Amino acid sequence: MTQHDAGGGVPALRTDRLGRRYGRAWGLRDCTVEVPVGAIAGLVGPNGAGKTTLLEMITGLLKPTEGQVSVFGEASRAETAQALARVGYVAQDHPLYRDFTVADTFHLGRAMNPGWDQELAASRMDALGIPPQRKVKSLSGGQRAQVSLTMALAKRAPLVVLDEPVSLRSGPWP
Amino acid sequence: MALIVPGLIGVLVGGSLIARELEHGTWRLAWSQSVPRARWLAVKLALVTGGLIVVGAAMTAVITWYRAPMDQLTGRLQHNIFDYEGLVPTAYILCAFGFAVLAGLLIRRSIPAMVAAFIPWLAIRLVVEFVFRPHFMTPLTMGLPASCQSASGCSSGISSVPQVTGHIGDWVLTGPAARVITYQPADRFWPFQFIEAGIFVALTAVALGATIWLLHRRAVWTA
Repeated sequence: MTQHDAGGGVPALRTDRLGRRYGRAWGLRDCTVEVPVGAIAGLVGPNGAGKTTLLEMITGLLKPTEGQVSVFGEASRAETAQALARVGYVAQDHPLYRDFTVADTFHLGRAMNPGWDQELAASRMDALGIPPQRKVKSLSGGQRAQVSLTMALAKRAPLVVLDEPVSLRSGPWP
Repeated sequence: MALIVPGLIGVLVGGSLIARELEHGTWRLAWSQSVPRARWLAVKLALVTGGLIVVGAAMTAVITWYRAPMDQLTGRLQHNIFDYEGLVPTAYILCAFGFAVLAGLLIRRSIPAMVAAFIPWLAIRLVVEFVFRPHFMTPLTMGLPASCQSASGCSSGISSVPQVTGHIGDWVLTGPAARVITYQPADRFWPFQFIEAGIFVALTAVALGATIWLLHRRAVWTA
């Protein structure tokens, strides 16, 4: 999912012959995709097709064995603050710090993201009825998924990548 | 027992620092924010290292206060005294911490990382104490005093009785049996502290530097 319409023909995301090898086996190979600005693109495939591998390379969490990723026309070669700020990510198991409260989690988001939108985070929790003082470990799976999604949205990244977003369907969409 | 306490503190804090993120999957959260992971780690290490220095200094201060009357009788250069005062206890903690952080990144699991860091820490700790420390500076030598010519007259260990060298607190390396007494004088306590603490702080810096470099390299694309 990409936000903003500025761009003038430059795709929001482009991967060029992207590949990742795990040991001797390729998790993904020769993957070239392009997602235009303003689009919502879905990625479908059987288990082990390399979906998460692709998404983790797009977000910069995983280093490709070969090929290249460009986000809004800029090649991601090194993990820089600017490259990281361009992509919001919700991993499939919604990892959060279990001993943090929801408010602590958003405090982390604010401290680690220059574009952090605290108002968006607070209003989403309000709309979902999740009290900020609740510990993450005391939340239901669906609520955790929503906190995770809110972390990615409040980062205000122009490209948002969701792994297994079906588990997020119960909440309001911004 | 007290020998291993600094090592335990260090590995307990360091082993889970990165490994916990890898075990629980929270690395995907932490490293997808707008802070490069090497910087994320550097900040974390600075804060935790600062905390460990405070803990180490406080522990050492309490032990030194408790031992002060005994130190007057024995000096502070002997085994089992030197190791708990001054700078070295904190340096031991930091070294174990550094090893455990590096092991946590390489092994990716907290408990195995703690074990894998503790063993080399203990080995180095003992080798430095028994092999290198006696030669940090050239020992002084002196002939055998007349009173010691008969076998058991002089003690060379920790004793409230002034030793063969005549000064309380000198660390006697080779006693009367060797015919020549070699010893480290008591006033070398602080130089020795700086040397030994320096060794362990340098090892800490190498381990932590390697960890940051490895994490950074893992994130920088070569393609």
